[in-house]
Parts: sequence; structure tokens; C-alpha cells
Amino acid sequence: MNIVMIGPRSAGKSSYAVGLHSGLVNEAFAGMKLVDTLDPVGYLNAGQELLAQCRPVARTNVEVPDSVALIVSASGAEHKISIPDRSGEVLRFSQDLREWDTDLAGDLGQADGVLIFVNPMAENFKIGAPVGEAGQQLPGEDDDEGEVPRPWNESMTPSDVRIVDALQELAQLISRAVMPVGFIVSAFDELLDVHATPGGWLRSRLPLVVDFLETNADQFPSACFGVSVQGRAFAEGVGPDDDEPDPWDRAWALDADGEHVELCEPLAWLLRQGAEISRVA
Amino acid sequence: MTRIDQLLFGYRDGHELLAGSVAIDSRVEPRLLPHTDARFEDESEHYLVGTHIPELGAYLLARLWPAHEISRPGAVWAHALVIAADDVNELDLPNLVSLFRRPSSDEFSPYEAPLIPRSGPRPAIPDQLLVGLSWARYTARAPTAVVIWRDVVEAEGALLALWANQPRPERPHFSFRTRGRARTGDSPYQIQVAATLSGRSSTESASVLDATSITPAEAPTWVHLIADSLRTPDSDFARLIDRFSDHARSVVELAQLWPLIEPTPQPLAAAEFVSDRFAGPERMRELKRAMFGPGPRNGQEVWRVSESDRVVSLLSVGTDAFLPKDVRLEQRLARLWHAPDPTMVEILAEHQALAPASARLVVLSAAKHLDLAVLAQMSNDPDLLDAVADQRPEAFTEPSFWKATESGTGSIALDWAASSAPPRALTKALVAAEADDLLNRALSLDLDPVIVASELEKRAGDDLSLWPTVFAGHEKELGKAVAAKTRVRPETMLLAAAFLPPTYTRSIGLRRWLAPAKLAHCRDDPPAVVAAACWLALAVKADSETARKLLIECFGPVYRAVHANRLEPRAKSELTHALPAPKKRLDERLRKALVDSMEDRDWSSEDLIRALEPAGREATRDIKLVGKKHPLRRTVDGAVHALRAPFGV
Repeated sequence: MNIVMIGPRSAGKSSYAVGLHSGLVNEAFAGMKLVDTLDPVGYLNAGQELLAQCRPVARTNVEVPDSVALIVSASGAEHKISIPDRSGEVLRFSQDLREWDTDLAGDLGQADGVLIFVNPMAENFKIGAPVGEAGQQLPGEDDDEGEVPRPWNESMTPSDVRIVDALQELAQLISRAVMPVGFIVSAFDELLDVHATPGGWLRSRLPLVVDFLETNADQFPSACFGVSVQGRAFAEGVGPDDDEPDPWDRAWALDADGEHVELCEPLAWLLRQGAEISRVA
Repeated sequence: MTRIDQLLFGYRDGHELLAGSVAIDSRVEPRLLPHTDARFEDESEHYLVGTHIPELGAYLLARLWPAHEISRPGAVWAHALVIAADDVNELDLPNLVSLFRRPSSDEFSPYEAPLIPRSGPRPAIPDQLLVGLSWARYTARAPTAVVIWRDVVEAEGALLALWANQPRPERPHFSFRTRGRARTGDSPYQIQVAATLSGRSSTESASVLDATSITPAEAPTWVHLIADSLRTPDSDFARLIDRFSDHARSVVELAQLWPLIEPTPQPLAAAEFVSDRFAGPERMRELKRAMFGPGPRNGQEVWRVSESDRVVSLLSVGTDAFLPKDVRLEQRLARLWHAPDPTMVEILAEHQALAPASARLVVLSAAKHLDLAVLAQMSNDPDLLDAVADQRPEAFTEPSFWKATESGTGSIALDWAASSAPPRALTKALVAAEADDLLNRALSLDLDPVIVASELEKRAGDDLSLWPTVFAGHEKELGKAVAAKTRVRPETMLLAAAFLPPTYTRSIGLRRWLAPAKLAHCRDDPPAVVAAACWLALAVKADSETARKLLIECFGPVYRAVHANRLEPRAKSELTHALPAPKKRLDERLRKALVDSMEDRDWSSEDLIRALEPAGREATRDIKLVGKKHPLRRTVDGAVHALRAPFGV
């Protein structure tokens, strides 16, 4: 099964891949077992080492996309999974320039499922301003009417618009009639105080995305998850506690209703969706 | 002065272009990011990347550093030089690294102006790495190569040297990179140097060479040569590569050719090599012209090989791999025939060993330009003779040619000469060369014997010493020719009469002998006397006015010779058989014949005076032709008196 992870930079894609692999290797998941690893896992191991040191997973560099290729057993069957891990810059440039990166387009064209990542704690996560409020302002010379407004550029695009735009573009690229979409809200540990469920957060913060997915449920069956690969926020320069759990034990995930699920559940959901689609076909 | 644009990349809103001395289109920036980003998986301080960017129409050379000071883990800095394609072949590429600067703050203005290249010392490069890179780069097993070397920073200098070593047409497009860990899958870089190899890839499209574990003996000689050229870019071989290579494969071929150039030139082997490897005339044309083209100056650019050796090599292997105007063999051969070096003559002697086209060229050129004396000495060669007959038939009309031939070779050459050279000119040449044996053979080849006799006479005068050799076996032809031709020089006829056996003389009408007889009348040389005797013998037996006139012309010289006892045996024999009164002395018999003719024919005093005049003063004084009462007494006395008067007798 070919799965594509898309999302802006710092959205948690690589962290999820590291957490997923770490959990599989260390048999942390009851619902999914690792049968074999097909791609080099050096960067995944390096990421696990960073997590063990309570350091964030390093960014994915633009040059060489990483990749997770595994054979797992789940739901009584073995599944070969390929998950390219491309840098967020690739998606950003594709959207800003209105021209899909060739390799990313190739991945999407062959995808059986998509995982969309957002990180509400990242700098580039933007929510559109509510109607009635003034647009973003530039510090500059005041004129008689107030500060000079900054001209619009692509970086100002709200995140829900970007996501819906990506899904609309995805609809042009895919060759399948149905593409299951797993929506992952990263660093959900930072949101628990405010939002009890990932579904609630999504509806609150990215209503445009919810509208799109509900409207296009036939083509894009979806599920929402809240994920924390780190388990908690890391303080810079601060290492693990003496009784710090292992990274694969720290990580957790919630389904849309806020119920705890295994970190591998988004993947498992995609596998089930894929099986269902195949059965119906 | 060349200026180089620069760009600075780093992490801001993702990895992106931060500053530069040249504007980059927003659509082009994504193309640059993969080459300016990296994951630092080892302790290397920096990585190096070099690649052509088609969208920029320029070359990007960049150094990348880990940006640990940036909060985002995995952030990197990249300082890139943007080099115009035309400048790649002009710049001192290894020295470009001196331009790289890692940002030390958020102040990026130093990156907003073009840079001026500067020279500097080059770091030492381990030989083993040079060998590894050369081997990996130039072994065409895969489109890309990965070389393992623990210290990738150390590899930067080697890669730059390798880049500078690339053929000029390929240098602006040569791509390379250093990294901590490399995969063997598809890569946009022709060569990567990595500290270690990653796991297997979905595609195995790169060849891998561990430079740390190769031993010198493993690598072929050509690899070591190329590695040496990387180490010493000013060496002769490095300059050869820079000047003549047009493709990566050609670098290997030049390395395989080099041992045939240095230390000891092997021109024939080198010619075979370039003809085989660079078969098309346009392939490596400049190299072939520099090595085998005309003129010592051209040849010395690559090696010091004599003109004759270069030409001989071309002839030996053939010139299909060369453009004719680049080698100009015909003109060069023409000059070489006159060189002191005997090589070309030796080649001519063995021309059958050459390829047919070369052999033909050598033979034709020799025929046209070779010194006649040398040509003559080689004239036992049918091919050469054919060429001479066709291209330079005038050679056969030069006496120096025949003088230089030896007996065997001259005879062979004569066969060709007889069919191609003008007969008289050929005869003249043979006579002038005193080639009597050849003249005799030439007569067998239907050379006109009258012409031969005429030329012999012109050259040797009354010397008949060569005639027996020249006309041996051909007396009959001479006799027939003299008889048949209406225009034969009297001098020639005189000699022919003196030389030819009596049967031939007798077969020719008396009238034909009158003119030469007049020549013999006032001569006392042996051929003239012999001829006169023969004619007198003929005249005595004939009864005609022509016979009387012959007698008038011939009596004097014959009588004189008899009186002086200088008559040749042959002449005596002729007279003995022909003259009347066989029991008398020869002089008496001569006088009898004269008187008999005077009695039978109408002789005037002038006739008698003419007949007696050449007889000599003493003979004239003592001659008693008739008695006092003889009817001719008066005529005789008058003539004798007239002859004696000048002497006061």
C-alpha cells in the first residue's frame, strides 16, 4: 500500500514516521506487527535516538526524500507499506508556484491513502482571520488612517485553505475513485488543555477542511487523529529524566472522539479502508 | 576580470534562499534547494556540491554546513557560487573553495555582491583517493558512482581536481557531491564521495568503490596516469587531457595512449592505436593532427618524433582515420624523398608490406619525386616502373638514370622505357650513358637500329668500338633498316658499311652509298677506309655510272691505305676478292681496276684528279697507271701533273 504523508514543514511527518517505526521495531503495538523493513532505516534510528534524548526529530532535507518501506501484519493480513517522507518545502513550493513537484506528484498519483499533517504549534500554522477583523498589519510609517497594510503573499494563506487546496489538487492527480484521508493533528499534547478531542479541534480551527471532507466523503473518506510522538514538549538543552519512558512508550494517539488509540492507528485505519475499497471494487 | 555571483541558503520559513548577488526567479529557487540542503550524518564540518543548473544556465558550486545554532534541528547553511558556463573552462576550479564563507550572524549583506576569484595554496590530496576517484569516474559501469572515503572534507580537493580534469565540453555539466552517507540508487550526481554507504536502495544504479581499501596494484595503469594528472595539473599528460579530450571515454583512451607517447615515443603503435580507437576522421581530429600532421612544429606539440617516422607510421596503418587535409601525405612524401634519412627508400623497397592504398601512394610519389639515381637502383620493381612510365616517363630519357642502373635492374626498366619513352630520346639517353648492353637489349625491343647507329655516330664519331656489342645479333636488322630508310645520315651509313658484314652492304643499292662515299673520299680513318674498300669492291664488280662514281670517291683513300700498309683485314679481303689481276700486288690491282674503268667509261681529267687526290702525295708521284702509248696517257699525265703542281714536283 502506497501512503503519502503531506503537510507543511514542521507538521510532524518525520516525527510520526520515526514514532511509527520505533513502535513497530519495539513491538509496542498490539494491533500491528513488523514483518520486515525494506528501506534503509538509518534516519529513523537517528530520529529515535533524538527522541530518546528528549530532542526533536531533525527536519527532512529537501535533497533526498526519506522513505519508510515496511511489511507489517495487521487485521490478520500482511501489508507492504511504502511511505515517502518528503520535506514540507516541497509542498509549499508546489502550492506557491501552482506547479506540483514532479516527484511528489508521482507519489500522489500512485497513492492508496494519504495522511495529512498539521502542527498547530508550528510558526507556519495560520488560521484565517474572522470576518470583520482588520487584515494583518506591517510595522511601518503611519499614515493618517493608521499603519500601512502589508501586501498579500502566499505565505499568508491560512492553513485550512492550503489543505483544501491540496485536496482539490489531489483530486486531479489521483487515479483512484476513492482516496482515504487520515488527518493527523501533531503535538496534540499541547492542545489537551483547550481541546478535548481532535475532531473538536478540527471543527473549531479548520472548519473549511471539515466542510470539504464531509462534502466529498465519497471520494475522500476521512478520519481524524491527534498524535503526540514526543509525548510532551521538550525544553531546549534539557535531557530525559531518570525515569523517562522509552520513546515508543511516550508516544500516544487519540481518535477523533478523544479515545486513546495506538500510534499506528492512522495507518491501521488506512489499511482497513484500503481493504474495504478493494472489497467493494 | 571574472566575477562570480553568489547565493546564500539557510533555514527561515523552511530551507530557502536568504540572500544573493543575483536575482533568482521564484520558479527556479525550488530547483536549487535539493543541491543546497543536506542531512549531516557524520562529523564532517561541511559538504561540497557541484552541478549544472539548466534553469540558471550556469554551474552551482556550493559548500554546506550544519547550522547547529538554528533552533530547527537539521537546518543547514549553504554558500553557493553561480558560475557562468563559459567561465567553467577558464577558472582555476580547485581554488574556488577559497571563496566560501559560512555565515556567522544574521547579517547577509556580504553575500549580496559578486566575488572575484583569487588564487591560493591547494591542499594535499591522498594518492589513494585520487586513484579511487579516477577509477570510479572513468569506469563506465554505471551512470553514477559512489566512492567511499572516511574524510569527506579531505575529498573536496580531490573532487575539484577531478572536475578540473574533465574534458572541456563536459566540464560545465559535471556533477559531484560529498555526503556522510550515500545510497546506491538514482542520483543526479555523476560521482559522490561518502563516508559510508547506506542500505540497499530500490534501484541499484550506482557503482560503488571503496577507495580506502584499494591497493595500487589493483588499478590499471591508465587509472594511475589519470590520478597523476589530477595531482599534477601542469604535467604534460594533464595538458594533453585538457587540450584534446572531448568525452570521459576519451580521457581513458588518452591514458591508454600516453605510454606510447612517453617516455619513449612509439609512433607506429601510436598510429595503430589512434586509428583503431578514434576511427572516424573527425574523432579526436586535433590530437591526430598534432601527432601525425605535417611539419616538425606540429609534431612537437605532443611528442618529438621525426617527420619520416610519422609519415611511415601513417603509411603503415593507413589513413582512413585521418582527414586527408590534416595529414597531407603526398606533399610530405615529396619532401621526404630528398631527406638524408634513407627511411623512405627502405619503405619503398618494402612497399608490398603496406596496405594497398599506402603502397600505391608511396610508389606514385617515388616515381614522381625520387632522385633518378636512386630510382634507377630500384627499377626492378614493376609497380614502381609502372608508376614511372605513367607519371614521369621522361626519367627514361635521362642518361643519369641508365648510368645508375645495374645490369639486372636496367634490363627490367628497359621493358617499360621502350613502351613509354620517345624512341630517339631513349636511345640518346642510353647512348649517352654508354649502356651498350642495354642498347643491344633495346634493339630486341624493336628500337630502331638506324636511330641507334645514328646516335652512336653522333656521340662517338668514327669509333666503332661499341658497335659490335650494341648490334650483336642485330646486324640483320641494322642492314635492313639502313636499306629501308631513305633518310639516313651519310655518317651513319659510312659506319654501317664499315661495320656490317658484306652481305648487308651488298644488299643495298650502290646509289645509297654515293653520299657516304663522298664522306669517305677525304678521310683516312679506318672505318672510312674499310667502307671505301667495300664500296670499291662493289663498284669494281658493277658496270654502271654509279659504280664509276663510287670508284672515283673510293679509289684514293683505299690506295693510300694500301700504299701505307694500313688496310684493315676486312678491307683487304673485300678487295682481294673483287679486284682484277689476282696475281698482282694489291696496289697494282687497284690501278688496274681504275684503268679498266677509265677504258670502259668516259672519265674526265677532273674525275681522275678527284680519284687520285686522296691517294697521297707520294702515291701521286709514283703512280703509273698506263704506258706512254696508251690512249689514256694524256689524260693521266694531265691529272697527275695537276696533282703534283701544288707541291712543286
